Amino acid sequence: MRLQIFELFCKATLATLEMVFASAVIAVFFGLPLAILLTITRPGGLWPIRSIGRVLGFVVDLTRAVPFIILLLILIPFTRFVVGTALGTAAAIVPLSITAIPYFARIAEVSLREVSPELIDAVRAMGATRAKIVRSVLIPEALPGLVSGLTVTLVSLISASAMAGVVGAGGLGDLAIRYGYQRFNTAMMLWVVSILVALTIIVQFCGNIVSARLKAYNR
Amino acid sequence: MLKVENLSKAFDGRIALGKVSFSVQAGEIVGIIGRSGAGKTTLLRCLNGAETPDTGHVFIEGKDLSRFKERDLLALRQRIGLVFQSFNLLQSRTVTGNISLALEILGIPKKERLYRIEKLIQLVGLEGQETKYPTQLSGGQKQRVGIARALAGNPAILLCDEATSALDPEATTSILALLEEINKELGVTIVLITHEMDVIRNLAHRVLVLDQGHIVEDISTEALAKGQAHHALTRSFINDDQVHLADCLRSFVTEKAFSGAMPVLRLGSMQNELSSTLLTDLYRTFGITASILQADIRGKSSGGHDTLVLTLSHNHEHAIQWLSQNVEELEVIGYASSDL
Repeated sequence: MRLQIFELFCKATLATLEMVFASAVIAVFFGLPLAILLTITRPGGLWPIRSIGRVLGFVVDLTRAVPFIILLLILIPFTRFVVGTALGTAAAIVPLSITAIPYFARIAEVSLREVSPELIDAVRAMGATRAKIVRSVLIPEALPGLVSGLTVTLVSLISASAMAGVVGAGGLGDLAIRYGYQRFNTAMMLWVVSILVALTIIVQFCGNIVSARLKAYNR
Repeated sequence: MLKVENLSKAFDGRIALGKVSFSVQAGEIVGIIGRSGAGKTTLLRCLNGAETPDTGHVFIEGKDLSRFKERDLLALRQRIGLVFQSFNLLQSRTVTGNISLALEILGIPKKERLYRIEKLIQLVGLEGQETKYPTQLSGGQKQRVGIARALAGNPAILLCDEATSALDPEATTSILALLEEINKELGVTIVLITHEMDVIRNLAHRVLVLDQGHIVEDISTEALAKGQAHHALTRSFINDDQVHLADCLRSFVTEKAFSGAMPVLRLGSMQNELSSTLLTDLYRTFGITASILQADIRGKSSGGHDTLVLTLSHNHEHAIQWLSQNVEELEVIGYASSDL
C-alpha cells in the first residue's frame, strides 16, 4: 500500500514536471520573439511599425485576460486538433503553453525595454543590422532579466498545472483533487501541497542563482 | 575628408542647425564647442547619418551621406568611428568581446578578428584587461575600450562626442594623449564635440564655435592662444577655465556698449593676490564705484589665482586703463545696463 502511494506521487510529480517544462520551452520559443517584436515596434524603437506592435499587444493582453480555467475549456477543440485528444498530460501542455506565451512575452518585454536605447543607437550607428542588434545586443544585455522572467513563468506554470487536473491531465493537482478533496484524504492533500511548495522553492532558487551569475558583471 | 554644406535641421519649427558649413582636412583634429542646446548633438547625429538633415549635405571622403540608401549608409557609417560620453559598451561582453562586436558588424572572420583585437588592445594600452567586463574597469579604461572599438573598422574619421566629459581630470589627460597619439600614428582625422575649452586647447588644431545652430567662429587653436578670437562666446569659453560666469548673469551681459551701460570686467591675477585696496583706490582716484558680481579668490596658498568679475558704475576709459595697469589680467567681458 505504502509503495503504491509512493509510486502515485512519483508519477504525479513527473507528470507535473513534464507539463511545466514542456510548456515553458514552448513559451520561450514563441514568447521571446513576441517580446522582441513588442519591444522593437515601440515608437522610437529599432523597427517602429506601430500597427504590428498594437495588434500583437492586443492579442497578448486578450489572452492574458482570460482566466486559465476558462482558457482550458475554450481550447479543448484546438487541443484535440493539435494533440488528437483533449485528455491527459500531453493535452494539458497546449493550454498551459497558450497561457504561458503571452505571460512570458510581457515579462520578457520589460527586460528587453530596459536595454539602454542609447546603446542600441550607438551600435546601430556603428553600422549593425537590426538582426545583429537583436542577437548581439538586445538578448545578451537583457539575459539576466530574461532568466528571472522565465523563473516567474515556471512558478506560475506550476500552479496553473494543478488546474490541468480538470481535463484529466494527471499530475499533482489531479492527485490533490481526486484523493485529497473528493476522498477527504487530508494527509494526501498536505503532501501534494508540500511537494508543490518544494518545487516552487527549488525553481525560484535555481533561477535566482543563474540570474545572479549572469548579472554579476552587468552593473 | 569631411565636408558639411549648408546643413539645416529644425525640430517642430525650432531651428537646431541653421546653414552650417565647414570642412575638415585629412589628419586634422577639429574641436566643435558649444553650450548645451547649441546644436552639437544634432550636428553629430547628422554627421553619422542618424538624423536626416532638412537641407544641405554631408560629404565623407567626397561621398554624399544623404544620397545613400540604408545598406550603403551602413558601409559609409563604418568610415566613421564613434566615441561616446557614456561609453556605450555591452555589459554582457568582456573588453575583447566589445571590440569584437565592431569587427563582427564588419563581417570579419573570427581568426582575423582575434588578431586585430590584439593589435587594438595594444594600441589603446589595455593589455592584461582582455577578459574583464566593463563594470570591472575604470572610466578611463572603459573609454579606451570605446576608442579601440571605434578604431576597429579602420575609420577615416574618429567622431568623439564629449568623450572625456564623464572622466576625472587624470583620465581625461590620458585619453586626450591617446587620441593625439592615434591622430599622429594612424593619421586618423578627429572631430571632437565638447563643451570644455580645455579639451580643445589641449588637443585640437582648430576650433569651431557653435551657437544656436550657427558656427560663429572658426579659428585655429594657435590664434586662439594669441587671443585673436572675435566672438564673445569664444572668449567666454576661454574665460570658463578661469571663472564660470554664472548663467543668470550671462543673460544680462551684452557684447556691445550702449549709452548708460556699465562695463563688466574680469580681473585676474596669476601670481600675486589682488590688492585688497584696489577698489578703494579706484573710488578715490576716479570716483567710480565697483560692484562685485562674482569672485573666485584662492589666495597665495593655492597658486594665487584670483578672479573677480565686477561692474563699474560708469564706463570710464581711464579707470579701466588704470585697472589694467594694476592687475595682471583685465578683460571687458561685455556691458550691462544699470538696472542689473
